[in-house]
Amino acid sequence: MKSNIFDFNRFGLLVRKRFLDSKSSTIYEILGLAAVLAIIFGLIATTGSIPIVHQTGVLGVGIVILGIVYADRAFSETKGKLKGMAFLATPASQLEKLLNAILYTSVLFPIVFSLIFLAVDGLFYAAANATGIFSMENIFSIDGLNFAETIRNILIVQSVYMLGSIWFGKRSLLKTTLAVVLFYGVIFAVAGIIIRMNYELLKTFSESSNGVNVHWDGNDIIRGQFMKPALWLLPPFFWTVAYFRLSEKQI
Amino acid sequence: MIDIKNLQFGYSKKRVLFKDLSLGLEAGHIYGLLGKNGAGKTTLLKVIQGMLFPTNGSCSVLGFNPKKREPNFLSDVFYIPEDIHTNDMRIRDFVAANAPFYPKFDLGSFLNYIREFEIGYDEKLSSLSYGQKKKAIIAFGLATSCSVLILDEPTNGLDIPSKSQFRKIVASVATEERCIIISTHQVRDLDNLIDTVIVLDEGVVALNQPVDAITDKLVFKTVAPELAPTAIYGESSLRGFTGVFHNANGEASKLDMEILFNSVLAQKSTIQQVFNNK
Repeated sequence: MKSNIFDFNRFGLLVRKRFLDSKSSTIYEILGLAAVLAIIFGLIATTGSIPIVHQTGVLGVGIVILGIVYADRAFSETKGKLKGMAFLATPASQLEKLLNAILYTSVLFPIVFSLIFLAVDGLFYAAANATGIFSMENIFSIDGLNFAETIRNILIVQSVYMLGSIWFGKRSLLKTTLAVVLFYGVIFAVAGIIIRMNYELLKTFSESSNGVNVHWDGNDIIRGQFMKPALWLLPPFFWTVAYFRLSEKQI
Repeated sequence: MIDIKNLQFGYSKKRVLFKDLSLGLEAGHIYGLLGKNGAGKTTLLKVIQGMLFPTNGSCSVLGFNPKKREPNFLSDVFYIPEDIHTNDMRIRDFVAANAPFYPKFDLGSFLNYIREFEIGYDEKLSSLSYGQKKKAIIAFGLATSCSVLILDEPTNGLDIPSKSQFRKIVASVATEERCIIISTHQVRDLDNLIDTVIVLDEGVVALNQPVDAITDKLVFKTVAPELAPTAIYGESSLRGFTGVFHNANGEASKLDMEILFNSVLAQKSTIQQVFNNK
C-alpha cells in the first residue's frame, strides 16, 4: 500500500493528468500568448526602437498579471460541483494536489511565460538586426535586476491568489484583490496611527539627532531590513493555509 | 465494509438532514438506495465518498475515514454522480490520465463495456451526447474494479437499450468482494438488479432489507378491489387493486419496488413492525 501523504509515482501521475486534462487549451493559450506578445512588440517597434525598459516592462507586467490570472485558476475545479467532485475524488493526497498546483502556477507558468517571451523577443531582436527598420537592445544586457527578490515577489503574489482560488468560491480573482487591498489599507492605517501617536517622540528624536537615519514614513517601517527574510516565509505560509483549506473543502 | 453510526448532517443549523442515521453495508451486495426528492440520498453517498463531512457520528468505509480523502481510500471507491463532468479529450486520453490512479483498473473490461455501449475508444468526449458520456464514465467506473462502487441515478439520461445493457454489465461486475450502491428514482429500471433495498425517509433509514426477506414477509399482488382493505398499502389500477400484503401463507411474489417504496412512506411503522417481528 502506498503512502497516503506523498508518493512520487502518484505525484507524477497527477502532474501528467493535469497536463492531459488541459492539453488542448494549453496549446491554444501558448499560441495566443505568443501572438499577443508579438502584437505588443510590433506596436512598440512602430516608434522606431524597442528599448530594454519596454522589454522588461512587458515581461514584468505580463508575468504578474497573467500569473495572477493563472494562480487564480489553481483550484478552479473546486468552484463547480461536478469538476470539484472529480478533482477531490482523484486518488491523490491533498499535499500532492497542492504541490501540483504550485508546480503549475508558480514554477511552470513563469518558466513557460519567460520562454515564450524570450522566443518572441529573440525573433524581434533578429528582425531588428536583419532589417534595421527599428532598433532593439539585447534583453540579456539588463543589469541591476535582483533575481532572488523578483522570484520571491512572484511567489508571494501567486501564493496569495492561489489561496484565494481555494478560499473563495466564485469571482475569487476580484475577492482576492479586494482582500489584498483591504489588508494593505489596514496595515497602512495602523502604521499611520502608530506614527501619529509617537509623532512628538519621533520629532524630538529627529531634531536631537539632526534627522540622521531617522525616517518615519510608513513605507520604511514596513519595508525595514528585518522584513526581507521574513517575506520569504509568506509563500509557504499561504500554501499551508491553502493546504488546510483544501483538506476541509466540501462539495 | 461501510459502517455508519449515529450520523448527523445538515447543510445549515436549520436544515438538518440526518439526525441519527445508522447503516451497515456489506460486500457482495447491490444496494438500492431509495428516497423522496430531498431525502438525502445524494448527500449520504457524498458522505460515504468523503465529499461531505458529518457534523456528528462516524462513517467508516473499508476501514478508512472518508473525511480524510486518503489516496488508498479514493483509489478503491468510485463514485459516479448523476451529472457528470468530462474534459474535452478523447476517451483514450481520459483513460490514460485517470486509469493509473486505480490499481485494479482492467483495460480489457473497459473496452468490452464501451463496445457493449457502442462507444468508440478514440471518440472525443465533447462530441458524445450526454447519455453516451455517462455510459463512458459508467464503463470507466466499473472497470476500476473498486471495492465500493457508488452510482447516483445511473440510468438518468440513458436510452431504453442502454438501460438493459447497463443492468447486464452491472450484474456481471457484482462480485463477493464488491459493494455496489445505486441511488435511483427509476426503480423499475433496476428492480431486477438490486438485492437489498434501503429506503431513506425523514433523515433515517426507514427500511434496509434484502429482497428475499421482503418477499418472505410481504406479498405483492393485484387483487379484486373488495380485498383492498386487507392490504398494508395499495393502489387502484385498471387491472384491479395492486398492493402489498402480509405474507402469512408463504406466497411467492415478485417484488414491486414502486409499491414497496410507497408503502414504506405511507405505512412506515407497519412495514417496520413486519420486519422487526422475528
